Amino acid sequence: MEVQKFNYDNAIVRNFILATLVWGAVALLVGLVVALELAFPALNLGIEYISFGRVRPVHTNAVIFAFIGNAMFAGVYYSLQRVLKARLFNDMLGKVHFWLWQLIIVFAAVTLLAGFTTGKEYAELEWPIDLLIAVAWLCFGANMIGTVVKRREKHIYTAVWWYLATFIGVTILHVVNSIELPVSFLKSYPIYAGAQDAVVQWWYGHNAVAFFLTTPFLGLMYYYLPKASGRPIYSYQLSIIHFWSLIFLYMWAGPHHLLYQSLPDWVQALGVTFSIMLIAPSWGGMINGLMTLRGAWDKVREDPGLKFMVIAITAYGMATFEGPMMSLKSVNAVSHFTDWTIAHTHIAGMAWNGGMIFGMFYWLVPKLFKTPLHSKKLANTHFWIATLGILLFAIPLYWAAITQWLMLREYTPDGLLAYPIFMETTIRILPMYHIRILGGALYFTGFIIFLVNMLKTISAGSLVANEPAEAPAMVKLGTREESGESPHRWLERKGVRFAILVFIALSIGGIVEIIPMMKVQSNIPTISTVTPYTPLELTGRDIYISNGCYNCHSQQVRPLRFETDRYGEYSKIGEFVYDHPFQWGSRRTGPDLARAGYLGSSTYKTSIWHFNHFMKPNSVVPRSIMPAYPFLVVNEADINAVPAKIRGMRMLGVPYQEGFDKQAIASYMADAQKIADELKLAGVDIKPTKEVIAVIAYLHKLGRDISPAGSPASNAKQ
Amino acid sequence: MGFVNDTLSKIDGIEWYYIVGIIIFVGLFIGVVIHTYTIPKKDLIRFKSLIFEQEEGEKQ
Repeated sequence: MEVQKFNYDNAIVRNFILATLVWGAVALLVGLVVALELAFPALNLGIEYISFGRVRPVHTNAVIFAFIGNAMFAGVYYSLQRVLKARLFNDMLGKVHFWLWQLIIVFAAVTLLAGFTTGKEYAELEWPIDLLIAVAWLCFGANMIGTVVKRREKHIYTAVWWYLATFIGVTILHVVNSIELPVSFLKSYPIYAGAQDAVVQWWYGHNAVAFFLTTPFLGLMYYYLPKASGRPIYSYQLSIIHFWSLIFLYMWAGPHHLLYQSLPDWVQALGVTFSIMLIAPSWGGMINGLMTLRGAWDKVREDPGLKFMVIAITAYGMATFEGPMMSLKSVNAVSHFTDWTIAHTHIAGMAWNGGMIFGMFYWLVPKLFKTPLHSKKLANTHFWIATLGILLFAIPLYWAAITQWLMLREYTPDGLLAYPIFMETTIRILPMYHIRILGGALYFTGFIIFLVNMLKTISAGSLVANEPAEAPAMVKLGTREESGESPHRWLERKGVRFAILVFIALSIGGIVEIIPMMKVQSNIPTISTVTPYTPLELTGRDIYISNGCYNCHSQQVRPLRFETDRYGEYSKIGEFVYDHPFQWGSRRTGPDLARAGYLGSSTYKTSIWHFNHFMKPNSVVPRSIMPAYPFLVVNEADINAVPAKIRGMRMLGVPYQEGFDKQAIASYMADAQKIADELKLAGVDIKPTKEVIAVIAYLHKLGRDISPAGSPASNAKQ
Repeated sequence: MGFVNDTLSKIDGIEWYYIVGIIIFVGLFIGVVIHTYTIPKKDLIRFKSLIFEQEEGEKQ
């Protein structure tokens, strides 16, 4: 048999490793900053570019796409070449992928801090960056599929199935969720509105967790855990079963993020049903991982990398049991909009993804640079500090969630809410936020130790950028009939056909959920009194989105007694038909705002109250942890952009009259002048063109259209 | 296509969606389980050990 000589491309792996180290430090540091800003709002300094609402998305995007993303690419590119016994398909594709990805990260950080965001969680980046992501992702996919095609090993090892599913899954999600209409260079509106946008967004949000944070890491687990422990995976059969089950089921589970919300019951039921079923394949992966260590637990005692992998797989099991439990309606009523979700995601992010990354790097970096790890002692110190950090981070947040939920639903013997002021519940959980900071600081400290250990190891070793290798040439087996293989084994060596089947398995869940939401009119019952946003309100909405208000305030009153008693009428699907994008939120650090324009709701406030609140929140809400927004009073609203926005909304089906874009600025100024006059009567002299006027107008729109007929709010609308 | 369009243009029967979804999944699951248990043991052992073969082709 002919033995072929070739080289592995180690340079691309080294580049992604270095990027992981740099961006990991940045992402975790930013996380620490947002945790501090949340507990100590004065640290926002009244500067828009570093306010919590803008920095928090930088943290989430940096952790997911910069830290975890770069580590994933490093791990995939190293293992892919080895299991397929082939150099990466194209060096240039790898280079373009690497540099474009780093450029995207920089653009993401700059634009998010500057207030350019779509307002959709984990998909905040604006359309030009979405396009760059698509290009970089296609480079990654083309390189991977090209390598599969030119491989020298007939069988495609299970890890590569997970990598392929990652590429296909993220491609589908990114394309569908990013369909938006640009109205300027860095501003777009999603084509979906309200409940439809919510379904698409959480289908994306949930499956981004699945196909960016789970499937690639299961693939990495199937390669690096056996390599580090020196034992083959426990059950290859289980890897096949849990692969197909997991990728098929995940795509259906997204609506569990929207339980009790303005969504048809059938969609919610779908989400719950498939979320519960997800326990089985997820635990298949966990069991396969932990059982791989049978007979190798003595190595775990000695090897800090393996310790991290054990923590990671255990956390994966915990999180994938907790997730389905959180999708039960009764549990979701507690966990949603509280810190429970934050604790859940951080267990997964810090322990599962972080643990796998650290475990993988402690094995990979010495191997790649052909030198022993600089210090096992430092690595062990990192392990214990990080573990303690995770515990100190998550436990207080679970505590905070249950405390806040119990307070929110507490009634007096007279049947009144015991804590009618939302801020009372937030203040009570502040000590937990302080402990969380300690947990985050410990985890960050552990990362710095890891960083030093990695850099010392790298500097002591030397990289062989083109590592010589050899393998027998692949034998052509021909058709299935000729080779006499079973269908799946034939499929397992046909990379492209395998990928097509994965695409079909992934698409079914999305199609079943999303297409009926778009096509069936009765899913979206309209409300005749609900009108489109005026130009002033639309501008205010964009400023609200730009400042990331959705990171702390929801716009969704669930049909639960303690919510309707607190805020008013529960939210209806028809209220959101003009919302591009929806702004229901996922966490309430402050009160829900869906009834901020509904007279009689506790959240309805006058214009002067809002003005004072933005300037100095403590002046109207004692001990409020909302940061001040003095820049809203200074900044001029972008009035010139209004006509283009109205035209864009019309294209998306919002029923503005033809030619209204030409009257939009006049309409804006007339409405803004009324609020400016109102403020003047209260002693505040301010130009109607300031941003704060538009935001006040927007807040007064929320829920106003369903105010009871004859109420002052309803009359004011006439 | 007519059937698909008709089905998607009304909400009637939508409660069957997840039942159908589960049936599709159960079918897929049974198929995959049958497949995996018919793979010869020697093949399974080889697949599991693939990543250890001569350090995946690196020159010793």
